Amino acid sequence: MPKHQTKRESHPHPRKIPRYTGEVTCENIANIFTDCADFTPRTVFLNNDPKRPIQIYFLSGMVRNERINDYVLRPLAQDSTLRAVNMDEAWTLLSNGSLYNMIAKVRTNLDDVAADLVQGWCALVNPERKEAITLFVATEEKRSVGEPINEPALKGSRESFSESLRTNTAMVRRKLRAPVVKIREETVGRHTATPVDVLWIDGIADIATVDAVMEKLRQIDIDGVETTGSIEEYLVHQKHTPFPLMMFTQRPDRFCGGLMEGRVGILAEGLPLGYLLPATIDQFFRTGQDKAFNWMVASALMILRYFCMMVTLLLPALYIALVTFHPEAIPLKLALSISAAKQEVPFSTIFEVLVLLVAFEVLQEAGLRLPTSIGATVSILGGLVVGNAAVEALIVSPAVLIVVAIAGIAGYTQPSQDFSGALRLWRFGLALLASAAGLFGLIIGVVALTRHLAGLESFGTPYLAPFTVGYAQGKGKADLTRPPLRKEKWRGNVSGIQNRRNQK
Amino acid sequence: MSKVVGLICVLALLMGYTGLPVAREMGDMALMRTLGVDSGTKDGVALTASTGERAKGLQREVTPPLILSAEHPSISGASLALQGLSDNFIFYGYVDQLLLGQDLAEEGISEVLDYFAHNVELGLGTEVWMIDGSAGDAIKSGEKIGVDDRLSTLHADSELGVAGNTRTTGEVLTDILEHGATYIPILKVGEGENTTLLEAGYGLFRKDKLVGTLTGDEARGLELIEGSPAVNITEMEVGDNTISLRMEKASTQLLPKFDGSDLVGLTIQCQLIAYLAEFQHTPNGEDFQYICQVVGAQEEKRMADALKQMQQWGVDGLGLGHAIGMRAPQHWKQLQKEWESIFPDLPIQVVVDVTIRRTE
Repeated sequence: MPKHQTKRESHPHPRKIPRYTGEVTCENIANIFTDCADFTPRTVFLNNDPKRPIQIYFLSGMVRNERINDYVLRPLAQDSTLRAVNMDEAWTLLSNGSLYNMIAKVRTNLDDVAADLVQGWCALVNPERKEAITLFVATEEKRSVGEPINEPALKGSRESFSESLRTNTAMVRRKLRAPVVKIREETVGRHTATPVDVLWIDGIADIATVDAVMEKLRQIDIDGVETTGSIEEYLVHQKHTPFPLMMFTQRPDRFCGGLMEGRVGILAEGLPLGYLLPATIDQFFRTGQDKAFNWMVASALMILRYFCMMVTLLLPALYIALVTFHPEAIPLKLALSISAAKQEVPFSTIFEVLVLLVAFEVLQEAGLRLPTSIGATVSILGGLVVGNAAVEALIVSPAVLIVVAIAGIAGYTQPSQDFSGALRLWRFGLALLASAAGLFGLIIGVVALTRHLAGLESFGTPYLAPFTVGYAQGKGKADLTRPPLRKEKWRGNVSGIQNRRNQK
Repeated sequence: MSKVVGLICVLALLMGYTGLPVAREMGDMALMRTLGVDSGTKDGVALTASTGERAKGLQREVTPPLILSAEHPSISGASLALQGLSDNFIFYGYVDQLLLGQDLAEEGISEVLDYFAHNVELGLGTEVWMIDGSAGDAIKSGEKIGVDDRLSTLHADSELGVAGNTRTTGEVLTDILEHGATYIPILKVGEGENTTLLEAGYGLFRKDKLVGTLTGDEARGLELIEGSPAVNITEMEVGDNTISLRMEKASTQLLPKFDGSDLVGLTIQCQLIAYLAEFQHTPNGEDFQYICQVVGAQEEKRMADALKQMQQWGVDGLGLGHAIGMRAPQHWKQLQKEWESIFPDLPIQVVVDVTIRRTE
């Protein structure tokens, strides 16, 4: 069989739009929902007139019973004006307010009726007119707005995004009370039909970026949006990088801050977080609380995070390079101490560091996958007991244990776990290069990393934009520090911003 | 992706040409701290290396220093021979103390200095001393605890101004190359049970060969001319008052006197700062004048004696000619050519101005 044929057969079938064709009839609707136990048909007589039957359909559990009973069934049964007019007029009255519902849509398309039903609407079908009125009666059972667990606030709002898209957009609207906040929606996923909203501030954000995001969303043809990756990985251009090219936040205040910086936001049904793009590297070193603290303290903390990034990335590799290849570069007393501790250890320094790095990852993974209480026990048992025992049994030298622990802990200072994960991956790579060629290998690795980062781009904005020369126009914005807010008169380094000035 | 793989392959191939160091485990290394070089019994050199006191394991059990000696026609040969004597890999990257035996100093030290300049593990920041006797014996005198701590202390004390000057191989090599003479501090092994290394003046070198040594007051005179004297205590009787004077700092200035383009004299002006350390009662103004006079005369004599000795040997170990050239650059070219013949007969006047501080 020719190769291209095999390839074509492995492709998914093209998306079928509309999914259901045919007229809006009771039979067609019933056919669509065959073998659906929760599909509930109901016949109602208009104002108890047996000559005027109306079919109502809904999916049990998806709708709120009170809404159907009080705002649909009761008016249908009790409104005497419906008896006084003919069926056509009655249908017009139903769609225009006789039913007490804030959203009512007249559907002539079977696909739309089916889509409304699965979203928790109910459908009134008039078989004679081959159309349906769909009414919003969905249940709004959802998790209440909680605290942002990953981005706790010491000073500031304790709101976090929830799984409900409308709740999330409402939270944004409550913080940005201006009509310039625009929201466009696209449905993603063949089976999940997840609504994904794109938010931006008109007059600030680059409309080309908005269009590009919308186009990307339209192109996503997947079974469903199950995880954050379903959106994230399909939106970014570059796939071969562990570094996050979209920043996410659980905090509506930070999300709104991003919109005001000229970034474009993405919210999706079922995901309790919001994405901001384009992403630049400095975003991953900032926290939502930076602006809440004194600027000097916040700046010092930001510099500390950059320093910790270097430590977590380079320390194990540097240790291997210095101890194994360039011991003369270590201060004498430290060298004597390392040499003394290393004498009884049977393994090579390279092996020790790499094994401990793996052990650290294993411990971390084990702690994450277990319930909090057991996770803490695993950490203590693994980190303290096993670590201490390994040192006392002369299996690993204490210096290596300290180096790996410092590198690991320094990684936890990174506000973004995605970015921290990428650093952890590169840490292994650099350690391997240092094992092969000492400082030479390490430098080659650092050059490769810099080259890699410099080649990344997020929706037209270079990933290293804050540190590139000549990119930002009229920048005036510090990236390594957090200057006093009065002096921060320019929005970030996002490309195509329409209005760069953010204050007088 | 293929580009990346290609790049990695090219880099891997290039790595073979980079002269990468070989991976070694620090636990298997003997980190040498002190190197002693003597003249060998035959034509070569005798090399002695010591680690200093070592610790082992988590409990840091102290073990005696590893001291190794070998003789060979060349230093590199001797260093290789030391490797053959040890179970550990001998690592010279931490050698920061060099002891030169007296015999070697008399024969010439340029070979040793060149070796330190060119060897990748050694460096020109190594502190250097000459030993009054054998460098190997000096190192072996610290058989139990090593000599590295003592030498480190001498260096630290020197920086604090409480011990004589120390010099690095780089400074000595520069002196020899720039003005053909230098000086190196001398140490001797204490006698009897006390085998501590003690300061024993300075050795003066013409080119790379030892010409003579300055000890006692002459050594003190050299430090004063250099402008970096060690702290010195002078006791004296002033009337019924016994006074201890602590002399801490000095700054020296050279004032050359030219007749046309001929150097006809040199005045060395030394500003000495002393502190009143102990006294029975506060000296008065006249007493201070007397103290300054006595101390000034004493220090002038020390400096003059040191200079006289250097002139007799014809060795400008302190680079006075070079310093004069810096003050009178218009005469330096000519002076540089004639300096060796000018220096022995140059009239040098020494003036010491003593200032006493903390008088109460």
